Amino acid sequence: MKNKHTDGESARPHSDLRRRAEVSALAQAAQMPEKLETLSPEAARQFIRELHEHQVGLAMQNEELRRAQEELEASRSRYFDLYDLAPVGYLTLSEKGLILEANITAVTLLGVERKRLAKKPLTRFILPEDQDIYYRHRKQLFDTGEPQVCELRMLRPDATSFWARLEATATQEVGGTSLCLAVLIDIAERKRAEEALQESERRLSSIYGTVGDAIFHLAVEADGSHRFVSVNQAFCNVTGLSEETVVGKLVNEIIPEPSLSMVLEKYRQAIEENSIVRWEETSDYPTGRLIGDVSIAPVFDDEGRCTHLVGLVHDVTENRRIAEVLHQSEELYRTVFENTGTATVLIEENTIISLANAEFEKLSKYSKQEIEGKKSWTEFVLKEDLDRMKVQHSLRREKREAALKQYEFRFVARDGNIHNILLTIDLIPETTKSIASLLDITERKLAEMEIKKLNAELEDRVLQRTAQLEAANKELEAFSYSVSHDLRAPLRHISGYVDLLVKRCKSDLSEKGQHYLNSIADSSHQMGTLIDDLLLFSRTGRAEMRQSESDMNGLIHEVLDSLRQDNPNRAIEWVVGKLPAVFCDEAMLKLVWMNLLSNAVKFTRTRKSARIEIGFQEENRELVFFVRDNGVGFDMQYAQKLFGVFQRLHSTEEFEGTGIGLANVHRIVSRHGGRTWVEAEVDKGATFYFTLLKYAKEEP
Amino acid sequence: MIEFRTILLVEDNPKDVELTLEALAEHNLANHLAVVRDGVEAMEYLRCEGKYKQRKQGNPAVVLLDIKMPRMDGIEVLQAIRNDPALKNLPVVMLTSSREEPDLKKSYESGVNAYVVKPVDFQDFIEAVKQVGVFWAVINELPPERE
Repeated sequence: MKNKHTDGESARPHSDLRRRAEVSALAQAAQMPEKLETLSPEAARQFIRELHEHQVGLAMQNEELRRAQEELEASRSRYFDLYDLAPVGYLTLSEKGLILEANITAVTLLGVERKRLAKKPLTRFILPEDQDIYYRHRKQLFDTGEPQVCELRMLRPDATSFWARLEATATQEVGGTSLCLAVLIDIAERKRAEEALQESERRLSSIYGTVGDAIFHLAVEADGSHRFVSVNQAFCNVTGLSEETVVGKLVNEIIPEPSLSMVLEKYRQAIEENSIVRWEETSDYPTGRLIGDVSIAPVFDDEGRCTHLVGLVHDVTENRRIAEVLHQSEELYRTVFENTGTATVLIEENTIISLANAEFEKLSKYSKQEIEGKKSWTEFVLKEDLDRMKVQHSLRREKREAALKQYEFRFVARDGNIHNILLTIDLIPETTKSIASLLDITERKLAEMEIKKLNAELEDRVLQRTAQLEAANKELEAFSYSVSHDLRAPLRHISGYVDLLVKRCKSDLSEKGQHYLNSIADSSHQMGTLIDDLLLFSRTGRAEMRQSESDMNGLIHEVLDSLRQDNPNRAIEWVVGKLPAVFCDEAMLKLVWMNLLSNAVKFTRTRKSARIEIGFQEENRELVFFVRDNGVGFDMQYAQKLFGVFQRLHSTEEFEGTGIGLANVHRIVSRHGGRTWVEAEVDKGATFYFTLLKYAKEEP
Repeated sequence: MIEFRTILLVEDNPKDVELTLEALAEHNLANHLAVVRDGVEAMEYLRCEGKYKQRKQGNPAVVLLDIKMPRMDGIEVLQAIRNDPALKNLPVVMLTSSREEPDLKKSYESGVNAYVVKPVDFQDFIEAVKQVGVFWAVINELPPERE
């Protein structure tokens, strides 16, 4: 330990002591007798004894001195330890700010070797940004002589920095120079804590400011009243009261009765029980009615006195309103569900019926208590229908849109009765529950069956009638056949025998008798024509149509040839336009032309110059054909009758005929989908029209 | 000399038979006429059965068939003839009052050689019968008797 202090300055106390000891020894030597030989033995012994005593005294003093020196050394050592190993850095700075001394802590803090520190300006170890702080600090120190404190950031040679607190005191050296004794404390930790606290405060403050719930802070006054210390933005928004209106006011100045009494009671309770008190409160604020879930927490000081209350109001107005709406909506749907005319159930994924309405009770003959949560829908289904319904049940939950939304099944009630049900079912969106309504269509089914039965009966009846009609038709055909054969035969016989009579027995007959026979022959001939015409007419109605594309021009010419041959002595001016092709039964159409044209020939017989015109005009969907003559014509008031069977407008004497021709024309044209009509005037001729559908050639 | 061959008239109505005979008589064809009253008799005649067992073998030149007859009608007779190997080539002419389509159709489908509707007018009738008689009994070449 001694060799630790070998420099000049620490050796100074030793030489000082030596000098003082030498001075003391010289003083003692002066008191010694001049001559020892002059001393008596007694005196010598005495002197030696004294000397010995002095020597002992001296030794003791010496020992004491040594001990004092050792103590001094230890004290010095302790002082240096204290100096060097102090938890704070010590620096001695010259007036100019150069570092004169530094302890180990300061050296460690500044991160540099002690010898490199000597005579260096402290500013070298201060962050450039904080140099001003240090400058002001030093100026203050030397100006006032008062100790100064500042906080600044120190810079290490390795370019790292740390927050430090510098406490400086100015002293006067013996030589009159000023020194600065500085304490350097690492406050990095404290700074970090401070920053963390500030950060935390900022955070809390931003939460306080932005949180959606209203927060208010009350101070509890000495007299027990409550004063608003602060409120957050949400408080202002929710209540419609501004911060200025509220802060600094007493609670009873802001909250009106009857809320006030209740609120104060809650405050009292929170303080008394030292706990958070919660309640729901409805208040009327400028913004309207507010339903709040309010919490109050008491804050106590060290002495257990409640100093503050912190309150939080969670606005549940909207929640309550939604809950109310929801409740109403649920009521509505429950009422609908309960009162709907069809049996309705709610079905869970596990097939259990969780809800059933009154109609379902009626249908199933079970009560709701027996059904809800207990019965599966499968218990109500006829065995034969169960499998396909289970498939639907699963499918509905796997792929909703693929499942049938409506189908029929057979429902078995408690009493064993089977009902035909039209089921309408769908999943409730975002659940695995389905809602099913069951319409009892048993009656309808019965009615359907009844209808089917009636229909079947009707069909039977139709078949029966058809058969009857067919039979009647056959009969008619048989009749026609019979007319054709059986009636013609006797006529032929009459004709034959009349002829034979005239031939063989003419001489036996009077003139009158011959006239009678001629009349009989005429009548039988006429009757034969009538029967033939009637049969022809019957055939045009019954014969199968054989339609094909026909060239009208060709048809007309065939007919004209035949007419010219039959009337070789007639001079007729024929005006024949070019006619279009039509789709028709050619044989039938030929009959139409034959009838119309022979009529025209017949009724122009009295004209000197007969003129017969054949033509057509095109209308929307029809071709209108006409035959115009300049014959005798007729009175239009009988035009209606003209197309009837055996209807004639002239006597047989005037113009022969049975009156069947135009009836045939009308029938044939009708069968082709056309119309017939006539325009005529007495003595001015007639025009007969008929239409046919336009023939649309199929595109290749 | 023209050889007159037999004409078989199948006709149930005696008046028609008489008038047909009158018509044929006018052309000297009456003596060659054989008359039967219905289809059954016609087949007996052709096959030389029943009361015609003793008939001289050989087919007539033509069969004039009425359609509407008791027991077996004309079309049935026609079909029986066409189905009989010994008779199938025999000329058959329908001589009937019917010009109904079904009758015409069935007759031609069954292989009739001609179809003549008896005219109501007696002069026409005589003319028709004469032409049929002359054509089939005189002009027409007969098919070979045996193949």
